[in-house]
Amino acid sequence: MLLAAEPAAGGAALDQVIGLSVGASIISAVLLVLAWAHRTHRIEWIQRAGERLTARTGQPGWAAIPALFVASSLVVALLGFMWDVSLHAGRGRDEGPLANPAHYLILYGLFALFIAGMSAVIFTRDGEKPGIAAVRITRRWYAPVAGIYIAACGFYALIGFPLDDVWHRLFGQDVTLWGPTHIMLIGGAGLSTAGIILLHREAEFSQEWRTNSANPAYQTLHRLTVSMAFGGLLIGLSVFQAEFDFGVAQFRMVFAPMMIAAAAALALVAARLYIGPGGALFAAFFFVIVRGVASFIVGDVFGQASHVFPLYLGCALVIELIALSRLKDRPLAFGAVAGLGVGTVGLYTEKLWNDAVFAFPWPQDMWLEGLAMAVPVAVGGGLCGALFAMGLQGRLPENRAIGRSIVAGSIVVTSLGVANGLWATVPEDATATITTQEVGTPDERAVLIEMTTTPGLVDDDPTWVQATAWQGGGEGIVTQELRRTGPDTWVSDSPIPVGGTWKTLVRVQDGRMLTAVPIFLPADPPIGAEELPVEASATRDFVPEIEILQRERSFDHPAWLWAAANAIVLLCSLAILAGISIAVARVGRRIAAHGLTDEETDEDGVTARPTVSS
Amino acid sequence: MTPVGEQLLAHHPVLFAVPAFVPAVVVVAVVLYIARKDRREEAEERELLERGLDDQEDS
Repeated sequence: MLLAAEPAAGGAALDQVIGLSVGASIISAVLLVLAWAHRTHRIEWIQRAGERLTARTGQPGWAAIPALFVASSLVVALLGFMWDVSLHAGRGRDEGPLANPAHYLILYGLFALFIAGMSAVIFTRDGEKPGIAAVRITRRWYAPVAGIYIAACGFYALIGFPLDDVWHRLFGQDVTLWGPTHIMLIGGAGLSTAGIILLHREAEFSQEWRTNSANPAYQTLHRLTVSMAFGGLLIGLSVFQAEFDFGVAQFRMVFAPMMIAAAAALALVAARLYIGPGGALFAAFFFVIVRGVASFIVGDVFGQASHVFPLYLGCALVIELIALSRLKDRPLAFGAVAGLGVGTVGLYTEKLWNDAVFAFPWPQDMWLEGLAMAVPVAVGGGLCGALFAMGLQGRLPENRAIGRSIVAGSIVVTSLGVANGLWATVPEDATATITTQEVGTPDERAVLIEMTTTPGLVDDDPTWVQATAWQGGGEGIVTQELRRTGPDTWVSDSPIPVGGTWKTLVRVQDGRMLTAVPIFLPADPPIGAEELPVEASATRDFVPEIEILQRERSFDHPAWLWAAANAIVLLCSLAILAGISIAVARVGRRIAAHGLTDEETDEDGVTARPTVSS
Repeated sequence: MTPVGEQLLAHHPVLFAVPAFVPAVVVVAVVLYIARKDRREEAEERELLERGLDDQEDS
């Protein structure tokens, strides 16, 4: 293996660069030759593979091949992603590319995602138009718009890899999920799930589906796959929560309800409106099953840090109940009300679930701010979900400004929520006196602690006062809520690991205050950090958490560079959001202009889904 | 900035990602090139056609 020879601290050897470049050239050439040979009828096996899938699913090859491909890629990427987060949480930053096998799964998943999208793009030949909203590439080459979108998602995620490297060169390695380039990597994969749903709809306007749609077996499979795809969308929108799932959130807790409400409102409103009764519940069940299996594999089979996930069933039930009213005939109003329901009642059920299984409860301290952030975002998410379903059904509002305002407004509201969430303060001149009592063995050291803080630092109802030890190797995350014994004193009830590679600290979050005191930090020569030993009793300052949790970060860079780097990532991200909006709108307008599928118009001689009403 | 040797950057998986993202960039570039080329050719053909029609009308 080329990479195995990489020196411990130096740069990459030239032969590795050459080897990998040769590999890249070969893969590029193979892809281009395959596409060219297929399109010029020099090879027929891609066509035959498509036909075989058509015989099994009733779908045209340009939808069946990518759908299968995307689904398998995303499963691999999801597993790799959860595994990766658990490795980082348990072991810290990577020792080298080979030291983290999860990266292979992620890279394969994202690359396969791109290829899957491209397979839809190249499949139809001889000037045939795939679906109702095909995009012209040349006069003899048309591609389904969802295929282009999925390929764009894969592309967006893949360019996250080199950008991530540039990022780490500039700013040091940030061991957080929410590094901007990390958001690209996971966001690209997450948002591609919407492309599967759109592709599925485009396929209904194909000659193959027109011929096959009467077959009940095909119909059942078709309905099942699109229902599962909405569950996939929910999984895709939930990837940003992973730090909370592992109990090592480096951000304020108010983010948790907001992210859950946003994902639930968007995906489940769309599922209920498009699939029909039970659609939201099915998607939520699918989410729980897939995430449950992934959690089992990562935590129990691979033996890494374990994690939990939101339940979404309460949110789905709220949406299903609201859909029993006549409101669902007015999708936008339904989306807004369902979003409100998810942001309130739905979140209450999530609070019960969170407090039961997650590492840290949602205390009263964060309720008001959490609701203020979650409700507007959930309403925006519900409206966007309704728009998504309306686009699929070909009944978008005729006034395009409505759709655009909703999408833009939701992005603005979400950005405000995120900005507020990121606004955290660190107390000045606050200290904690921590006395420790060694209770472990010399090999596995552990301490019990007693902490006294600056008087009045923490009010009666903090979000958390916890001891966290992580990156100790293997399953290494230990978190523990400290028990309050007086206005300014806390104790630990069980031993907290120290020594070795553990990073052990006390974290305090109260309102906007987000701060920490280290108990033990290992020496870290590569970043020039010395060991901070465990003291029998020591008074230490409260510092910004990022200085302890992300010791690898470098802060000596000009502010404009940081701003410019963020702006580039932001632009790429807005482009991908614009991409899905444009793709859905294109399909929706074409359906509105050219009519629904035969099946939908044949029922009782009236349109099952009303076209544009004018 | 700390000296390059002391950073962890060489460890980062950018190198092993090369065989994935470079082909993606190449494929996208080729498709965009083909699409642009076809549009240019179409425009030229249309121009030729229009010129031909104009010539016919003139004669």
